[in-house]
Amino acid sequence: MFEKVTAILREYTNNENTPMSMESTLVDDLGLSSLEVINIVLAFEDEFGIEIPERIIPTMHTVGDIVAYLEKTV
Amino acid sequence: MKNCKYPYYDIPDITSVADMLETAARERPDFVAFRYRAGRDGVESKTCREVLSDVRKSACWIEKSCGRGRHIAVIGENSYEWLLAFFGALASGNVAVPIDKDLPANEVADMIREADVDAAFVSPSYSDLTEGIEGLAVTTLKALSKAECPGWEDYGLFHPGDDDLACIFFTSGTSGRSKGVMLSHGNLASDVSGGARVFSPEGGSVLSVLPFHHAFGLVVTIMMGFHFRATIFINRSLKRLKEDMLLAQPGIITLVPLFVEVFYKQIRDGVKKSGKENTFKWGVRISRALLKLGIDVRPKLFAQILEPFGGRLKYLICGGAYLDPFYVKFFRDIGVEIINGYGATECSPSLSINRNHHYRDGSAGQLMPHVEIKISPEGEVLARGPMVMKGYYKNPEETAKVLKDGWYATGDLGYMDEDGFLFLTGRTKNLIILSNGENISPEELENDFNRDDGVKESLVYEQDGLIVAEIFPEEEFAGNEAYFNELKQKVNQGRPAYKQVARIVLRKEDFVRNTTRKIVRYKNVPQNTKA
Repeated sequence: MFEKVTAILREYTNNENTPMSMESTLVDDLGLSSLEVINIVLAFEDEFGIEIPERIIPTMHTVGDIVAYLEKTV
Repeated sequence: MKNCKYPYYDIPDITSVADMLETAARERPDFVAFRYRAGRDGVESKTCREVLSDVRKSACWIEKSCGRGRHIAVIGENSYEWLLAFFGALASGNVAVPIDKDLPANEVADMIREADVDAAFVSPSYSDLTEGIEGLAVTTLKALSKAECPGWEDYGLFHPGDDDLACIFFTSGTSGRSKGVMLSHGNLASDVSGGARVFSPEGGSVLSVLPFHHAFGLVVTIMMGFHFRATIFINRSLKRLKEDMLLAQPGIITLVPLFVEVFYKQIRDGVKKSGKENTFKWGVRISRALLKLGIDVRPKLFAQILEPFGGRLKYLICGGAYLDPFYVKFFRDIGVEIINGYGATECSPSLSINRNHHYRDGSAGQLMPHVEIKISPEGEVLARGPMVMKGYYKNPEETAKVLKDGWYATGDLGYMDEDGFLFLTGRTKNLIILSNGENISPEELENDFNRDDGVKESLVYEQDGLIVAEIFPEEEFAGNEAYFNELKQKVNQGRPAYKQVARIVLRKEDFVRNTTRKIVRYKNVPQNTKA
């Protein structure tokens, strides 16, 4: 799951070499804006065929948060 | 049309929400005021007449169940039902308290207590936020929109006095606890009336994306949009923004700089991916040259680029934070004008705006009708007029800090040019006061540094009586001291000696930022400095 998540995230950070760990924060470490995070969530929805409620998005601060949510939901 | 002064639009002023809705229903009953998604794939439309009827039903129901003079919270994602609760509260003689749905439950409860809220209308998806709050009557927004109120057809909407309290917006400001900004019916009416006099939608519809619990999202996008006679498409969720832009085909989007930056990135990346960077650059050059001759080829030349925005986008009304003039120029090149404005929740919120055909890049525009501005001896922008709030709710100490003799102290530094355009140069709290008494706004210098290609971000402060510019360079310029010393000379050119940067410090790591990626000034400057 971690690999799948980071592969999608890399498409949005425009930098294939950005180091990513479970602890990497989306805003501070990966330099994403809150609007970009919403676009990424859409990409996860397409990839995994699920619908992620909008209320969940502000709780996704780190790569680990996304991985944990997807592992629980998918 | 040339960029020059022209008269205000002839749209009569309103006195209240009730007046706004009744006038619209009388003068343009069949005009579609709102559109929004309904169900999975449907789109619902509401004419001005239908909006008035729906608000009448809501107001009738609210008065019957809550009475008058109550404080009523509205919590939820943007929706037509949200607006019915807000307008219904005001039109039934109650006070609306819009609350941010993304706050944790304990903060929502604090606000409800602080604002003495008696009842709340809450979207079903956020109903947990108000669970267990003692004495609070909670109704879902859906239930309100479907509520029956016998005799609603004859219900007379509440026509308030100018000074009657209409709503309490919570503002976090830049520091400290949230404060409840009290806006009267007169405050709202003055802002809405002013907006319709200075801006014309020119036939375009408005896409609403900003949250309704902010004055910008509600008063400017919804109320002003309604009054300046545009159809407003309500985007319920930012997850559906792309689809909604295609569906709504807006001529206007009101937004904050974050959206502009993301839109810019999308366009830039799209051009890059398609391998048409050179074609794009040539297109810009050609269109600029033709524009000087009065020929506008942008709509045709850049039609493909603007397709994802619905294909009809003409104006981005931007406020809420500083926007780099770079974006204004970029979007103008492809045929979209960014209308930059300025204000504060405490001013209902608009104070100034660039007009459709009279603007100055880098400025916050001209004053709205009825707004008076003066600049304090310290350079702070002070505002007075019917749009200035009544004060902070139950907080006379904080009110006294910002309201003196009717003048609201904005906390922003700025000046007016000879043509009446307002320019903002920084925040008073960031002002550097030198030992000789001279004042320097660090943002003024930072903006100049940040425009350079080699600078990712900069921070200016005073150390031992000297002005220091700390720079986090773009990767390819890292450690290039000669380049940045040359840039320093360039920035200093034409500035008085006391405003000149004496030293450059190059950073190897990014500045410390907060969760919204803003640089936290005090965490980045060395101790014993002024910044």
